[in-house]
Amino acid sequence: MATRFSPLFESRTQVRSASHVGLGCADTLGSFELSVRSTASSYVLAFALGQRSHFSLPREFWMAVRNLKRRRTRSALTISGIAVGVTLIVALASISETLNSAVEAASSRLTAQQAAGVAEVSRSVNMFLAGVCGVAFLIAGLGIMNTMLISVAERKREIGIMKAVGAGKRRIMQVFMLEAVVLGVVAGATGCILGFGLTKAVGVILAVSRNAELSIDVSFRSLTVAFLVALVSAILWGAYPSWRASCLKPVEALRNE
Amino acid sequence: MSNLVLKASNLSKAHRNGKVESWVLRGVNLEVKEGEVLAIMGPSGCGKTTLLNLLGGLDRPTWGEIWVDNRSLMSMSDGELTRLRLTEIGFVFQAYNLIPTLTALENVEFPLSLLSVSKHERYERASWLLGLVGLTGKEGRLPAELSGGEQQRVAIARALANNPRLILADEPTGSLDSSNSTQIMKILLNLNEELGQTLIVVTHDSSVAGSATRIIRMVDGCIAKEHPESIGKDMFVCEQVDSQTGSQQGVADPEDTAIDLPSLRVWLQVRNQRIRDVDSIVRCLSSRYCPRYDDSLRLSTES
Repeated sequence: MATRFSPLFESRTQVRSASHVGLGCADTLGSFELSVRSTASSYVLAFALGQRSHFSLPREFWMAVRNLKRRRTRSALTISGIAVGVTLIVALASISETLNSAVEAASSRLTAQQAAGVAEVSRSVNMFLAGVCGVAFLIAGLGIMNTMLISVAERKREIGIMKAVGAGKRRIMQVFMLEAVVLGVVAGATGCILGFGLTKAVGVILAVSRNAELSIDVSFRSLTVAFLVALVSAILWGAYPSWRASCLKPVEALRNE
Repeated sequence: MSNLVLKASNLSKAHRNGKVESWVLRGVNLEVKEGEVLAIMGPSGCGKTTLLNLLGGLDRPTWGEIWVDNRSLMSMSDGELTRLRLTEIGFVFQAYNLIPTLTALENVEFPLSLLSVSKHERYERASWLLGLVGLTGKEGRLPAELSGGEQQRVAIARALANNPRLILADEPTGSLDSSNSTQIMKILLNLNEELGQTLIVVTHDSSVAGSATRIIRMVDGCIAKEHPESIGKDMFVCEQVDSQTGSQQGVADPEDTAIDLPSLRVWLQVRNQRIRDVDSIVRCLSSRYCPRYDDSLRLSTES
């Protein structure tokens, strides 16, 4: 009996110690958050965690959407810029994955030396693809930051009104961050769809031109990664303009025509 | 004293532009009682709006003290000031200043949502307020779809949303035609009567000021005589004093006063007085009867 129960007991203690570890993490997180509370990053953190904020998402969300719609052309340009980046990431990641699996499948049939050479080539191809993704991330981020900075400059008066009415720093921050997030989500989704289409198109073209049976699969992983890149870059690059907006003095903001 | 909503003492504000420092407000003293309708009048550029911004906690004075509800604004942090604006003060601006991406109802709801009022309650109060200003049926419209008068009414409803003790209106009728401006003033005064809110209106329209319980005239950053019956007459206070003391020579030296001479000249032009010589005005300042006498002393001692 004892031997049968002991593993269970063991696993229980493991679970308990794991939860202790988790609590410890939460504590350190908490103190970390406290230490940076006064800095700008805490606003990002507060937003990401959504803690202690009592803002109704639908209202703010529609506000952001209406704002983006009002500046239709600029929003469309920014979104397409990010979407192109996301498309590239999806397509290149899918191609690289297909390549990798092909290399893996073929490596058993090759000599050790050949396999090493092929692995070397595929590694450098992967590096190149990662570099392209990085550049896409950078360009997408700069696009978001530019759009958001212009938006903040244009809406100075609106920020002044919100502050006069009694909106605090955090609130202003939320309004602008949400706009960046909406931009990121829309662009990410568009990019994923385009990327899927592009990858399939490349597969078909390759298959036709090589007259071979070939299909490139778009993995869920590559789609998720590309979407997250758009979203995270939106949050990271949108943080500075939002913070700038929240720091405006009410009188100066209201004076702006 | 207990029903004093707002008190300001020695309020001064300087705008610094490079090395040039210009004084927009020069030692304003003000006391506002609960339920009062106070009109602040004066020519443009005399510091009315600056005064209102300071009173409402939108800006901080260079020196001086403000108390709203016996709480000193000077000792408050930015966050506390924001909170005060949210709960105690309602603003109405000349340019309506509604949030363009929110509908009329949402604009009124905005300050309520900052206080985390429940959705249902928010809706109830906002639509009641919009009804109060006569905008029932137009709740769903965006500011761009409303006329100027209607936008200003939404702004008034928004100012009232959190039931503040003090409403500060900066030329609320400034960009409206006469029929609309009478309506807006009627709404503001009715609300003052019904809800008992204290109202401070900055205006240069004498018909608007006529309905106030008290009128303050400002000239070049300080308050001229505060008697309701002396409107129009206070312009001549200095001149009379000056003509009385005119014979005396060297009463005050321009070097003694910290008020700069160019702004004195502007002051003269604004008041359209017959005194052309700056020296005579300095003499005038040294007279106790002049509203600027205290200010000149204060400026010279504190700066």
